[in-house]
Amino acid sequence: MWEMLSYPFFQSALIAGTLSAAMCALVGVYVLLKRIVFVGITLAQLASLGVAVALLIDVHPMIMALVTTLSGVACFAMTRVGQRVPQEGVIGASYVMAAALGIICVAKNPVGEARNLKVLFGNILSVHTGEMVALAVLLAVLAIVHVVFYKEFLFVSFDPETAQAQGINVRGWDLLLYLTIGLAIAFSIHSMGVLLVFALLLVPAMTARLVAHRMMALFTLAIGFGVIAVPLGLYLAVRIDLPTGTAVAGTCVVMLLAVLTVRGLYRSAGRLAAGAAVLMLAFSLAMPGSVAAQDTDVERRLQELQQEIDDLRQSLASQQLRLPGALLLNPEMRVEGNFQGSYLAGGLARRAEQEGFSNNRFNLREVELGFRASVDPFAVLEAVISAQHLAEIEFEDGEEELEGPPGEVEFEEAHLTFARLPFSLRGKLGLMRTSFGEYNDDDPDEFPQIDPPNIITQLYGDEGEGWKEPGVNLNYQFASPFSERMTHVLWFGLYSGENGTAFHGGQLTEPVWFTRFELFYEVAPRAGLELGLSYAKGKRLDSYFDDNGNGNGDADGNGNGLGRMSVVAQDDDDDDNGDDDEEGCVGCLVGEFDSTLMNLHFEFDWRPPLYSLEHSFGFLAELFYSSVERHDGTLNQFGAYALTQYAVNANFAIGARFDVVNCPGFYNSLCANLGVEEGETLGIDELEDRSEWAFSPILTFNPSPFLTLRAQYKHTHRSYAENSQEFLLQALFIIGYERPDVF
Amino acid sequence: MTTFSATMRSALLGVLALALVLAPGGWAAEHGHSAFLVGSSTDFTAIAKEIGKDRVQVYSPLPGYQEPELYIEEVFPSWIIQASRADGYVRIGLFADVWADSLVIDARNPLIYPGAPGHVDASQGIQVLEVPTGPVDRSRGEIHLQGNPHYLLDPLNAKVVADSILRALIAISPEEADFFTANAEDFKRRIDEAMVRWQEMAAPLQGKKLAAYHRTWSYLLKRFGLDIVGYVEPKPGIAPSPLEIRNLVNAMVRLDVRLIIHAPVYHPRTPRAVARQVLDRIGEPVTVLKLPAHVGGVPEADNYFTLFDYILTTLNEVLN
Repeated sequence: MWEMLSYPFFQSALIAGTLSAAMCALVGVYVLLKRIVFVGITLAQLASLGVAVALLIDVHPMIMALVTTLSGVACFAMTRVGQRVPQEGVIGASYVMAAALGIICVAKNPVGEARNLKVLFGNILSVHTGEMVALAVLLAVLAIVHVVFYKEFLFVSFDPETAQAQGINVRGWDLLLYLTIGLAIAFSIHSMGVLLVFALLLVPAMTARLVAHRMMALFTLAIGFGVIAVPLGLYLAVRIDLPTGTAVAGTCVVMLLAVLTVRGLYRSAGRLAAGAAVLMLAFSLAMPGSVAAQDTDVERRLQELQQEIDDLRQSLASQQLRLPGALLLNPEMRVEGNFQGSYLAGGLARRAEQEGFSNNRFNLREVELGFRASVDPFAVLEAVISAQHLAEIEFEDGEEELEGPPGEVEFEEAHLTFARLPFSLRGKLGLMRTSFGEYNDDDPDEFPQIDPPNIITQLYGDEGEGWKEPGVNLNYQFASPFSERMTHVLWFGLYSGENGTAFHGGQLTEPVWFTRFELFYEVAPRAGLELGLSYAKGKRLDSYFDDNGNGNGDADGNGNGLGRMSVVAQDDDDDDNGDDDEEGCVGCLVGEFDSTLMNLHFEFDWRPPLYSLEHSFGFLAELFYSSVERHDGTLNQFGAYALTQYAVNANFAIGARFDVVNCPGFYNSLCANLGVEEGETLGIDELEDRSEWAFSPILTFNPSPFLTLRAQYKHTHRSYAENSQEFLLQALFIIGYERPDVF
Repeated sequence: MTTFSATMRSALLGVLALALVLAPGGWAAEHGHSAFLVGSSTDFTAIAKEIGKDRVQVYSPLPGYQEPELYIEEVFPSWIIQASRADGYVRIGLFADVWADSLVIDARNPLIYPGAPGHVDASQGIQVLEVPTGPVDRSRGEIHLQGNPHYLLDPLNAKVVADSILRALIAISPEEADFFTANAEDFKRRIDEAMVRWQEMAAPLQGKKLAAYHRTWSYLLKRFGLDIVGYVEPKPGIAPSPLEIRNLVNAMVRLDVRLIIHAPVYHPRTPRAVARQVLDRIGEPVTVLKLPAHVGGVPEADNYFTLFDYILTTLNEVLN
């Protein structure tokens, strides 16, 4: 027997088993005295439900067992006996519920049934050190509680009526007692399993009850029987190859039968005891024979067991690691940060609200929190929440005023992607980037630049985030009939029209719709070019709102076609947030002027076919055409940018951007506002003269694929306002899932 | 208003009409094969070809000299088109070909969705090496969360993969089951035979020490008993720091290591710099050797058997 003790798994099994046995036997005496055997097994079953749930949602089994068991304790201690539904009924129903839910949890657990069943039935051989420590601490606590409140517990257990009459809080003491029972069960269940916990709760106490005449003796003997059963059962399990938990439980029962027999013989009792004695004798006679026969095999058997446990541990470890981050049903997560610094060397300062950040300060431009998971076999949900911390500069009477810094939290994106639509279509539903042109199709952080292209800010405002909207879109990708290397994508989308600049005041009766055609051509294994044409048309309100929520065009409705603005102008709140007012309008007004946008884009990406990590080259050009219907005619303008980057090695890249914009003339385009007196609007001729161009060299350093440091110098030349020279710095970082994107 | 509705209606009709005309389907059958398999690497297509012979058409988006694990973001449209026509998809698994997730979804082809019999995660049943333990985060570089995915550099793992592919092929084309099964058995038998030859070739390599660029070779070196002393890029995906290079040079000098191997995709510049530093210290030349990590990695390694013939022959030439 002694050689077994040298095996670590046997040592832990012995220690954990003994601790659990002592604990269960101690509280088991009360289970027996209070005749709440049924409560005992129900609590054990609830605890095992906790283990099953814990495995499903990946928390520690002991914690979940504690939660379910203590809920059970609370429930049983609160229900009164003598109501229409007897307490036994409640307990029985709980047992059924716990057993059924436990089986359901196991069946629905993606990790696999075999492992869970093993854990549900307890696996005393795979106890961890942490669990042993927890068991030891709990045993000490329970022992102290039971010694200190010994009298109270006995009183309320034996004679609750008298106790009540003497003014003792019977329910309170009962609850505490139940609590200790629940704790003992919850802590033991993971290593011992339902059957063994129940056996240790009941049988040692019963056995002790047969021979003990005083309370102290009853407790001592119960704990003694429990504690002896564990090494005995483990020894038998190893010797004659039995499942360990069952062997210990069986040993308890054999001890009970033995005591019954001795007592029966002693008292010359009836047939039952005699029969039990015969059974027990047969069992104990059979055992030494088999033990002797297998004596030489013990060593081998122990080694096999150790091997089995090592294998089990290894397979458990690998199974857990094979789940992506052991997330089970939780979504994948990602945190993306964009931190910027900006220094204005001269000229016109930025407007944080439209351009995303302000000059001469550090800006936490954005922290994005992304979640992604399959909703069902047909749809994938991606939700991105972004928080910003911007400093805002207000222009009033030509003066700059620093406000804020306001923090803002908003939904960046939240959409369902359907990959299994009929006719091989792919669909998106929800708040999304609209896919109009290349910038609106990708995450803005994917482009190798710090500030958004000027034309994007002028067309869509919104801090240069580009155009995102609630709506639906469909796309269809197909092979080109001309070449194997060529593919095409067709898009069609329908959006509300809430952008606020190019389109606003939209409703489903007057939606914005867009369509796009793309052509890809693969030049080499890691090089391709893309040509796309997009078209969007929608409605726009006939004026815009300044930061105080007032129509800046014709707030008083004095007759130049902007009469509807008065509805909005009355909403003259004091907040500085134009958004609220605009949103109010989206609900109450429908835009009546047409906005038409067209986009032509060309992209070329190249990596060397062999040493593809070493270099890369990218070029993207987008040309925008806008046709804007106004009260005084139609304004047709062009804007464009070209962005390029060459990676000189795996870490460093140099790039540049050239912007040229003719003011598109939306009422709240930045270029239509600067230098305009309050209450005035620019005519078409004045807007046609407003243009700007900008040039930016850009330097990028990637220490790893997950961190980007970037510097950009930007010179902007404006025909309608001061030029500006800026130095920009940026740190971009991402943790969590990476988004594989279609080229 | 009327123009809008009209335009919208015609646009929708146009999309639907195009969809009907160009919808893929029955592509493999049209082209005279019973199955069309797409694989994340050339190793899979090579093994699939061994099992399916001329009755199976295969396609791998990457040439053998590329590394699937280095493609993080790009899924090229032509891959999607091929996958949309496929009857089956064989992926590496173990988070090596993460892009295959979006490829399979974008292909809109129910035959290759995860869970379909045509979707094969070839890592199933493989005894995976180097499964990370302890806290796993990006401070350790782009480590493989589920262990080293270069498992096909141990020829015995090809037998497991062959069984996985065989199951998929039988599910795709049950009438050819006998043909596929016989070929798979034959392939496994030939692996066993070749294994004897390879072990003989590797006998003089036992215990030889070498350095490598990336943890590409763990399965190979374990199977054939070579000893690795360090990596040029100890944190995967992160360029080595000067300290890391110095540590490697010191280790190579201390243990008298004269060989650095690298997969074709990695530029030999840094390994050569390391080799020069070691040369300066020990006065003996250090070889920087390009070895194929997949079928097709070098022209000589044009199938799964010649891959190992080439690797072992070259290692023998250099080390002995």
